[in-house]
Amino acid sequence: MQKITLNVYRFDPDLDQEPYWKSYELPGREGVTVLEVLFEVLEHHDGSLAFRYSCREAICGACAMYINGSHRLACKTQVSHLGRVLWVSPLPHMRVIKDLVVDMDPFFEKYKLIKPYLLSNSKPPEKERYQSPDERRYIDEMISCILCGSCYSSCPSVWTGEHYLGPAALMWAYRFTADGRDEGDAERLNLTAQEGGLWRCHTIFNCTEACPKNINLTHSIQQLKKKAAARVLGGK
Amino acid sequence: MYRPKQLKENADLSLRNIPVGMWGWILQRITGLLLVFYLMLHILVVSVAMWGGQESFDRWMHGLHNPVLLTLELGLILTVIYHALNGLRIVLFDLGYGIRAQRQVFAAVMVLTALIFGYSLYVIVPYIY
Amino acid sequence: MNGMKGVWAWLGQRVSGVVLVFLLGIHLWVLHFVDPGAGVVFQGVAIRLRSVFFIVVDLALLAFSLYHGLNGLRTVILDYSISEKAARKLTWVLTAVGVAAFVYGALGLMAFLSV
Repeated sequence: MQKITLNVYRFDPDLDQEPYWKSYELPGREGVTVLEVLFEVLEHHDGSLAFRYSCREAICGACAMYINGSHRLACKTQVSHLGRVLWVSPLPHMRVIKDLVVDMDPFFEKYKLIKPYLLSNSKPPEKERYQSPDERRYIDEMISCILCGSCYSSCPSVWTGEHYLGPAALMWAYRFTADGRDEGDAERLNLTAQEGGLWRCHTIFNCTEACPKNINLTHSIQQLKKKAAARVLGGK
Repeated sequence: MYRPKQLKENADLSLRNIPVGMWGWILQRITGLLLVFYLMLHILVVSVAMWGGQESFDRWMHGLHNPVLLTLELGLILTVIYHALNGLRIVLFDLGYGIRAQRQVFAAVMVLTALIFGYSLYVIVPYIY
Repeated sequence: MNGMKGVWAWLGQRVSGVVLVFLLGIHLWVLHFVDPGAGVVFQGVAIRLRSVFFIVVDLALLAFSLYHGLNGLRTVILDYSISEKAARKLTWVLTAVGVAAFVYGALGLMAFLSV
């Protein structure tokens, strides 16, 4: 296989004034992923390259990056699908801690705000809080979210809206309101049907396009808007 | 926790691809802002009748009736058509329809915009030049 | 808990938008498509405004377009992380601008009725 040219975004706030692109010529190999290419650099060319990873099988969400113009998980992106020239940079519009590592704190703080757990005031039944297979299927798509931050990084309302909850938090809020076992509808609608919440979403669809797990976040957010509107119109 | 002080955003978007939904939004913003500006201008221009009566109004309208401004007016019509149709697209999504076919819905908006604007040109252009 | 703020503004934008599609359709059709060569003259507007239908259409157009436009402007500005206090102020200012523009525009229309 021919050589791969990897262009990678480098920035160390302790040493560099400005970020810069660094190129590496690397040997290609059948079935190689972007994450493996980054390891190639780390092990044989430059031990100072920083990036996050963990599971290497698209389930932990640590290695979300901006690769050749799209949000992707480095571990499940085949280099052969992108050609022989790679452009790898950290998640756009997020603060860079070093190289490909971004500050995820704002993302997770907003995620926590919507209370991402089942809320209930009622006494637990004897055996279990029942969920039918159909109810479960309905939330299947949403719970495949791995909190990688791609949607958050892709959303223009997030870029300018410091306090905007962002697509992932809103999608998760709907995931719980859509769960038959949850009783936190009113609480979550009060948290999300705010100017810093649902109403900053302008159905741009960047989040849906960016999601490496193919979740249609826009659909979930729209459902939540409808719920809020129905609540106000229904006087509930 | 370690937190470097001045973290910079990654704003270097080499090879950036802008998906159709984002184009829809960018254009909706630009056309929307243009239309608010035009609305205010429009109210002001019509109000000359209140200050100067019939004579003043007709003088203004005559002055505005020239090929340059009429061409700009065609641009205004295009702006309105796009903003209206894309607005209907957003309302469709708000009602819960077409969300999973958003690319096709946007394509439909563009085709309809082109068709209606084409018809407008066909009707109006012969009278301008 | 501070209630579900912004639902009405969001709903209002949708409703006024759909209404405007029809009103603006009538407005543009009458002014630009029925007789494109005519140009706008005082007498023409005055005759048109003798019908109650067009007075209603024009006043509704004025009201709905001002609401839709200024509410849209508010949405754009709110996208740029302004404080809640500033947002409240903005809403008041835009409401005042809207009411003033409506009164001014309506008076401007009335000038055509006086003959």
